[in-house]
Amino acid sequence: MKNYLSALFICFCLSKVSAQKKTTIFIEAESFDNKGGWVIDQQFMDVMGSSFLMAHGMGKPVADASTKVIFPEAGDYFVYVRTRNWSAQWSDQEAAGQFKLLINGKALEKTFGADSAEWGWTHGGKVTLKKGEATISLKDLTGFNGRCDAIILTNDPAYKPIEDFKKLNDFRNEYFGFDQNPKDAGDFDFVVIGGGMAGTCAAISAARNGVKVALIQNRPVLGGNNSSEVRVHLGGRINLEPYPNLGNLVNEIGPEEGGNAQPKSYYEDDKKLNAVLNEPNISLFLNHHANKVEVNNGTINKVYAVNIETGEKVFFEAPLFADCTGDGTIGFLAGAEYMTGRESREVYNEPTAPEVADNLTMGASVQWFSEKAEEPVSFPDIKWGLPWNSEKAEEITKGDWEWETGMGLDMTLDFEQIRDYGMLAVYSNWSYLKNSEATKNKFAHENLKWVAYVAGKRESRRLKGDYVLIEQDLTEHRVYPDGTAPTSWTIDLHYPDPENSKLFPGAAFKSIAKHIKIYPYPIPFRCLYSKNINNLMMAGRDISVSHVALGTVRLMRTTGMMGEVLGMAASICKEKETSPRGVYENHFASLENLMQKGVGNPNLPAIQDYNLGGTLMEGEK
Amino acid sequence: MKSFLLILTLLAGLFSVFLEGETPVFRVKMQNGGYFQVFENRDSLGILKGYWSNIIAPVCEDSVCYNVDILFKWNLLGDFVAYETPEKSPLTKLDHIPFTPADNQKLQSILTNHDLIFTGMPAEKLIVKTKKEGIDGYSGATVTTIKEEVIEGALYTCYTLWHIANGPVVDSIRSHTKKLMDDQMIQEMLKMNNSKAHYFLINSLSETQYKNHLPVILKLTLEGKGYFPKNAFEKIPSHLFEQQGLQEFLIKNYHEYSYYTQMAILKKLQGVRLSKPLLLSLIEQLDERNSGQNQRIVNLVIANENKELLKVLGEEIRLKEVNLNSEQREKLEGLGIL
Ligand SMILES: Cc1cc2nc3c(=O)[nH]c(=O)nc-3n(C[C@H](O)[C@H](O)[C@H](O)COP(=O)(O)OP(=O)(O)OC[C@H]3O[C@@H](n4cnc5c(N)ncnc54)[C@H](O)[C@@H]3O)c2cc1C
Repeated sequence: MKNYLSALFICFCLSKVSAQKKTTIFIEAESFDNKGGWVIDQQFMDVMGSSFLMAHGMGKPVADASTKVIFPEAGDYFVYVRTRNWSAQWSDQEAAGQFKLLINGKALEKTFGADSAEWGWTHGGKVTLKKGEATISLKDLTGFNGRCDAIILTNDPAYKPIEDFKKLNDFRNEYFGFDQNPKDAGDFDFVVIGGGMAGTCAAISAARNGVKVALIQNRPVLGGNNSSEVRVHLGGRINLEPYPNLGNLVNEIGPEEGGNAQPKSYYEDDKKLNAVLNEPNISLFLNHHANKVEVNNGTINKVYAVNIETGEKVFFEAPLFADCTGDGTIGFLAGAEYMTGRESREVYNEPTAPEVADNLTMGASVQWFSEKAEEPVSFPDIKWGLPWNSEKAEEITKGDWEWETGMGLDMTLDFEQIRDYGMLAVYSNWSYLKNSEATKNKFAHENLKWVAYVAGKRESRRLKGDYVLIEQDLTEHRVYPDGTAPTSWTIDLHYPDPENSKLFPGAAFKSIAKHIKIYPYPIPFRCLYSKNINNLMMAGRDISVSHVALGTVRLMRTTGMMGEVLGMAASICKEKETSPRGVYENHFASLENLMQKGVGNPNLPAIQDYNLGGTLMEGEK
Repeated sequence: MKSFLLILTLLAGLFSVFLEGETPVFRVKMQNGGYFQVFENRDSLGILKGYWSNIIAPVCEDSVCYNVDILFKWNLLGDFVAYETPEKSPLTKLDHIPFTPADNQKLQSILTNHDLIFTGMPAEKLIVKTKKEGIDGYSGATVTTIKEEVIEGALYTCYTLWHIANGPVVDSIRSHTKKLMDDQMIQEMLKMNNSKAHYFLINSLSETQYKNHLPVILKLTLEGKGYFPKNAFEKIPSHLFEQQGLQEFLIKNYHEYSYYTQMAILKKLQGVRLSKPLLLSLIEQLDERNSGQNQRIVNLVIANENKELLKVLGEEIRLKEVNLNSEQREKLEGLGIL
């Protein structure tokens, strides 16, 4: 509907200024009325400019997506499609993700997704159209992640689509009128950005403590890595010293069953969603990606978010914000100090830190699994995959956490490449298992059931707080008076798998983990708010910790408890009209009281007994 | 599935050799009604040192079955310590190959390890069925993730024995030890010199035992790691905090403890008549931050109603610019202190 109206809008504008009635119609693929089997992918929009539609068919072409457009003039229209050939960066064979564009059911001759390796406009030729309504459809040809960002139809032969993504964004905004008229989301005390376990718990905790909250999440579901889109199970322990009631909320909203890369129902998306919907103090903004921040004197005034489907812009004003994006995006946009990669040993004297600092982060995962089918199931013998052989073949039916890649790349700027490489490895291996003489009988009945397209991240930016938690704090149990949520998992750091690295030099897609056990350790409150942005707190994997310390705090029961604490702190900020640092300096006793009380239902049985981790426990309690 | 059922049936067949002249202290019942008997292990002076049981358990590896004959030993806390097998009937692997010394070493380390993946898995998930080439049947292969953890060819021996060594027997031993807690046993526990034993102690002592052994318990709190000191103070009966000795100990050592131990101590001191020197030393602990600790200290001084101390409190608050909450400020202003 959106593109339909906007299309009209631009036509009238242009027709006013031009005697030849030049008409250019811009259609956002993600705004299609009917998405068919295509999915909206917003993960890289800060880099390539927009969310887009993707045919994630895991080898089977997905159902067509379609939308209606009104053409004010009959005539010849030139067609341009913004797309890319994603497999071209690794293979010069036929492209993985190819698709056709259909106008009123008739396919253009051109096949899309097969040309440029980079995002750009592909010329699709010329079509003759009648005046009035037409149906535009995307027909997936391969089932292997063809992608379409936008379509332009123009009757102006001189028209050149804009390639520069920033200028293109200006154009989009002007075209749809979004920048002139961003919507005011309402009045809030506290705006939480990111709806993983950290953000979801922060929002609920604040709401139950009397705070009016907006929760912004850039996916259609809550849970982040613990959602059915990523399928990572919760880990770590709750209800520990020194605040045994922290974790009650995690226990309340977390899934009952454990396991990575399991069927969708394991992750209980609805449980988290309903918990949020049940809070009258929370306004939930699903499908909203926060991408702009207005700062004044080190204080955030507004956060802007864009609807990943309609492109509409919304702004949120509040005295207090929480960055639970995992990536520290809000802090980054606001100019908060942050850290990335691995600190050298001399920075904090950490025994596990490398001698020389580098940009190695833990990687991202595309998990997957197959299921046994009654009848044999085929899978395309792909030519664009990585070169594979029996030595490389992983004869398994599930890719768990250790299918991890992208260490050493930038988890924000290079993320499309990282995600795509993760998928490429899965498809390459699977195609081999299904089609090579050596394995095809064994895997004949296996059906590739699920491959993630939302990749799970472990590490990107860490925002600097008044304190940076380090390895020795954890291993020597140096506890501070402003301790909050206890972290209990091992210091669990990942490295490229040496065996896999030998087979795939410089491009391993599997990892190993190294563990150092610790006693449960309360994370200082000073790690949960920004050093230089006055009204920004954080919970999740983007808090103020060294790379080494991140190894333990990143577990989702722990990040959920950080969220519980943030919500409590937000209520104190509201009541005392103070900042997070003010809570630390002047009102910490109130936070201690709230942490002692807890925020979740204390009467529920502790059902989540999976994935507690090898904590150094001190004996019988 | 077949092997799983087999295991269950075999576990049911467990029994313990009855030894003449000794009386078992309890029997441990297994899921299917089988049981084994546990005996005390006392030294020549009659001091209880641990427990043992002679167990005969049938185990099958890939349908080849035999009786494991094994002596298990546990310490006072129910931790598995060691095993012995008769020379004539050593443990064996698939096809009756006897355990090598390396296998025995590995089994010992398995039985004392609580971080293994395979011990947490249901028996039927330990193997994957693989179709043998050309043969119309399935054979079991150990799941790859646990291969490293177990002894090759002795998967079910490891699994069965681990669950006997670390199963319900542990709780039975602990409650038996707890029942026998006396001065002698307390000494034994202290000698064990590990936090598990010390936690066991603070969770088992009676009020009188706390009173009689307070100095050693307090010493443990100074040495204890993690949250042990906090937990110990929480367990010490409240009325003991009236004791001059304990109050003097706190004057000397309070500042040595972590914040959370200090908070636990302050909580215990509520409602207790405190000596002037102790209150003075607590006042010294005030800092400028507004914290739960400051609140508790201020409340203790107010509750002890000593004019002189209240004055000192007021001075300290001014000097250190201690950050009070509004209720405390009002109260102290009401008392004319601020
Ligand atoms: C494969 C894998 C296995 C792991 N294993 C475990 C495990 O077993 N147990 C465990 O507990 N942890 C595990 N972890 C770690 C854990 O999942 C991460 O540390 C997790 O990111 C922590 O939760 P979070 O709430 O901070 O972030 P996330 O779960 O990443 O949630 C952040 C959310 O914010 C959204 N978001 C991001 N940017 C924006 C924006 N600009 N606007 C709006 N929304 C935004 C994201 O879409 C996401 O939903 C694993 C991680 C991976 C990848």
